[in-house]
Amino acid sequence: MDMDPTVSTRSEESDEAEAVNMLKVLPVDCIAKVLSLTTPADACRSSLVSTSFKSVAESNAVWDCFVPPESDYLFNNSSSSSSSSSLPVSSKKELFLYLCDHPLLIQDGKLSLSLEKKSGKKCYMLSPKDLIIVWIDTPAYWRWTSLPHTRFPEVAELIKVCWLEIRGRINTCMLSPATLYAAYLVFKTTTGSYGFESQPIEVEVGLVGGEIHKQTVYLDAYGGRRPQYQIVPRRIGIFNRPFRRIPGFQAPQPQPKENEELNGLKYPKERVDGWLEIELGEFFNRSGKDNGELEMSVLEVNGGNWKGGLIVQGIEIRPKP
Amino acid sequence: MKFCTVKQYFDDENNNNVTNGIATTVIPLPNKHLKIKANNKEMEQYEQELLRNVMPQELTKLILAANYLNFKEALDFFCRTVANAIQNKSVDYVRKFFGLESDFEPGEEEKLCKEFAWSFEGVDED
Repeated sequence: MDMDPTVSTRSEESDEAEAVNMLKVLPVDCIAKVLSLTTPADACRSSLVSTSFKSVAESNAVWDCFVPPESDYLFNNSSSSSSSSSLPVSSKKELFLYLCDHPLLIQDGKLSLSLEKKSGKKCYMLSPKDLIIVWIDTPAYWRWTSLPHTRFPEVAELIKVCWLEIRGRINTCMLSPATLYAAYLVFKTTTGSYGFESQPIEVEVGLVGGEIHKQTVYLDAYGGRRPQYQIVPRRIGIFNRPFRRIPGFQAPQPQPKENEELNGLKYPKERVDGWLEIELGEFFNRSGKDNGELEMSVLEVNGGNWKGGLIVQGIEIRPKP
Repeated sequence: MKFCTVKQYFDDENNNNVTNGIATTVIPLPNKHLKIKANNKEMEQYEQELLRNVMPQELTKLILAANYLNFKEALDFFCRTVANAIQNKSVDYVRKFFGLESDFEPGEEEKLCKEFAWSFEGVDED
């Protein structure tokens, strides 16, 4: 059905009648193109518009734009009849949804890639094998171990060090454009973990050769969970009198806020997968072009105190909500 | 090369795909693109200016014209404009935008709603 070229000269009533079914006018590939320029959440919701819209909204033409090329082989393998892969995906949409919940190991297993469901933005975790861990080769200090329910075949266990230095790098061209990312150290403490209580750890995120953002955090898993009604002898102003200071008692300590901040300092949060994570910093990735390498670091190299009893699963970088 | 289809359009008197009005919008775009190609921000402003008062139905015609003229940059731009217009909007909004009505069997829509409940979080109110 073609639009009447003289539509602009008709009355308003006819104009309303002309607000016709765009789907009949626009080629399907144009509609698919429009949807591929929205987000996965928009494309999913679009399936409810109408039955004909649904078939475009669920087509591979749309979802091909949301799945990363690194995952194409999964789709190709799964759709071939001779495949031994048991991947339960028969469309690019299903592949997308699969990747949201099942991180894909890439680059010889050094990195995992998954997708944020609503936006389709990329999330990565660098495996310990892809990190620079100072003293990793010294068995007295660090060792490689395998644990169940980890993303990577091996994780790094800290026996003891006085020099803690963990660094990871990722090329910014791998990240989704126009996205605010945050980096997290993903770890666990073992029983008998020591040296981290009240030990400030310096964390840094920034482009190599560019501005580095530093902050201080704690890796002490229980640091943010002191008893709620701890009475701390403090002087408070109301009892202050000239030349006579009477010690008073402070009100009960406030519970740490959602992001585990206490006195402005950050403590680890528990993840859904049972591991802990501590935010190392943020980075806004502008364009999809190569802006250089992003470096994320965890450092405690000043105190000289011995510390031990950590297991490092990796450094995760994902969009910040 | 881009303009061989334009020539064809002018030669084809019975062409209903591209009205005169649309042609005057679409055809100057290549020159403008070339002039300010390097400056994305300027192009963005020009494009926003161009489409400030355009109704959805007009956008359909613009897409059709750009598609027919095989003018990729304009097609990308118009499709992106529609995409921005419907992004994070409710299902009803998108229906009205495209002039569509629900033709699902009873219960089918609820079933899809449940399956993709996550995609409904934070959607703009109509």
